[in-house]
Amino acid sequence: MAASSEDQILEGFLCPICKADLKSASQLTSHFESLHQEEQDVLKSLKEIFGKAKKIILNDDTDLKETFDKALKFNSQDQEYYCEEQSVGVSRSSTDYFRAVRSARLERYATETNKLLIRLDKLVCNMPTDQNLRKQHEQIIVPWLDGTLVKLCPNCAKTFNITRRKHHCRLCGSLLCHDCSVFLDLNVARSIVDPSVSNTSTEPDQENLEKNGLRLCEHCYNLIELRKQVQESRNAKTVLVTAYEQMRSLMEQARPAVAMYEKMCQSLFDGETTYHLGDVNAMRGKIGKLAEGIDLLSKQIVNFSAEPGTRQARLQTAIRQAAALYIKEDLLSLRKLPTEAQIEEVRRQRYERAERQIQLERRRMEAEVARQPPAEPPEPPEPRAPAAGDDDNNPLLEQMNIIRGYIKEARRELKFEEVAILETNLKELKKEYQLLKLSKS
Amino acid sequence: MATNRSGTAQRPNGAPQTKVCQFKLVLLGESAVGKSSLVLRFVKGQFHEYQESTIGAAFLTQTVCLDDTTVKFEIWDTAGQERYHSLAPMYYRGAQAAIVVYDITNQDTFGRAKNWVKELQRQASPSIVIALAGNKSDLAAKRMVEFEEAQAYADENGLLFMETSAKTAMNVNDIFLAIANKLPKSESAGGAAAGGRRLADGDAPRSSSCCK
Repeated sequence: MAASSEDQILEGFLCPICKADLKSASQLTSHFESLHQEEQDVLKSLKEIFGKAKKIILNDDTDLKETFDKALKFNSQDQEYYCEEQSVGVSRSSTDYFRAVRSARLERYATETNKLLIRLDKLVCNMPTDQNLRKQHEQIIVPWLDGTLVKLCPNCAKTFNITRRKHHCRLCGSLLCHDCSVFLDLNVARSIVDPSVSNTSTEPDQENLEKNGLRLCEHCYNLIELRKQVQESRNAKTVLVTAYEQMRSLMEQARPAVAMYEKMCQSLFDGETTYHLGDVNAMRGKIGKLAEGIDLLSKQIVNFSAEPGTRQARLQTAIRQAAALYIKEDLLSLRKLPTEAQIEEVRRQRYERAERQIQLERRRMEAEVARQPPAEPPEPPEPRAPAAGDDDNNPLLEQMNIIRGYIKEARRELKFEEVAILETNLKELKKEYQLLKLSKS
Repeated sequence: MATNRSGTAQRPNGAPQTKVCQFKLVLLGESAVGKSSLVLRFVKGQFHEYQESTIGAAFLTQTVCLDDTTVKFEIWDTAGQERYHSLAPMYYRGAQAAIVVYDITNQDTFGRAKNWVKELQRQASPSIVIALAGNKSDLAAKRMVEFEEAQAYADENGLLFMETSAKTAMNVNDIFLAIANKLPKSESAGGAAAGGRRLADGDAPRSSSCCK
């Protein structure tokens, strides 16, 4: 074939000598070797060019890495060369330029990833289980590229044929061969679009994954994978955070416990019989246990390795100090319990006071009754009170026993607020029962 | 210095932002209308097809969170059987709320519920919040009490009204929440509650003096 006219630009695998279009690299090489052997050095350079181009196209990592390594070595040698003192010359900040370039790139990746995520969401929600329906569903959401004119896999440049079929990336719709496809497990996909769905499934085997997973091109897969990693790192709790949360929850428990203890203690000092000394001691023990737990956790937190002087180290020390202070001020400064003798004394005094009060009331009432003519008192709310004679069968007695059972249970579970409520009720019941007996006798 | 700062910063952070109110609530109604089932559903989220009949009065607690308040219910589930009716006044006295329950498939229980409402209006604290619950709404096919009839009665008497089903959990949490919403939750609510109880204690001797 003769050389064409000057203005026409030829393209393809052209022989540098005779300008023939050879259609493929291998054909060109063999053509050159057979016809233009005399120009050996040209051939050598040509081979090199093709080799490099091939490597770049195929992303041959090992070679690239070597090149890089060489370059880096060269750099370090350079540094040694320039190690003598040197003043900073004229400089120009490229930060703004760098930022502009970077933000444009970030923007591009972010928008692309978001687009893919939206598609992924549409794909995985309401995905039909039937293979044919699923194919339709997938094509409605992402239109597939028409592959009739595509002869080679755009990724690996191998020709499509009966054994190397054309496939489509489910997220961008582009063509690729099976070897270049990556598969995304459906459960993983669901957990990406909806973080509330935890991905608990075990690693699926390759065969299953290829059957059920989403076929993606490497580019889309990497973008999705990156987003997944960011998501995971954001949600992951470090050991430190877990320990801190545990400590906080213990503190939350301690607060009402201390309040309850104070109340119970006060009640004892006031000579009330709602709580026993044993109850209050049990409560004290509970608070002690909580304090121990908080102490232990805060020690754990401060012992986590951190570079001294960093913010994390400061934070850890601060947590420990705060916990220690909290334990010292709030949990260990509890009021001392009264002794049995003290309680007895207080109760006796109270009883006497109550007696006097009752005497006073009674005298006052008598005086009032003497002054006023007996008026019809309002109907009491107990008109249905059954006979108190059959003691075994009295619902009041029955109820008292029920309440006693409840009190025992609440005591065992250290629920002293409930104990107080139930004790009050038991007292009411006892009073009611006595009144009933009095009215009958 | 650092110690102090972190120490004091801890407390405002940790201090509960919400106030806690405690209310006494009593359930009343004819036997076998589903009082215990309603409470069991509300407190434990359970339902037993063959719930045993209550003896005396059962006591349970449950806490619900409203926007800025934690409401702790002290629930007294009274027995519906006639022989325990003498206990009921002890429990509705000093209660801040009451749920009167009837069975929508049984007209008699609705009549009994009306009586309970009347008794509460006469004897209980004047500020008591009363809710009327038409239970067993899952059995609507066998309905004997019309929704409109009960609604009209509730409106007339200023009661909260809902048809509930302990079996399907329909409106169970809702009715308790509606009550919690209607209860006064001022800072003094706790004090008022205690006051209510004390007032009840004062009531008792008065009734005794008339009995003598």
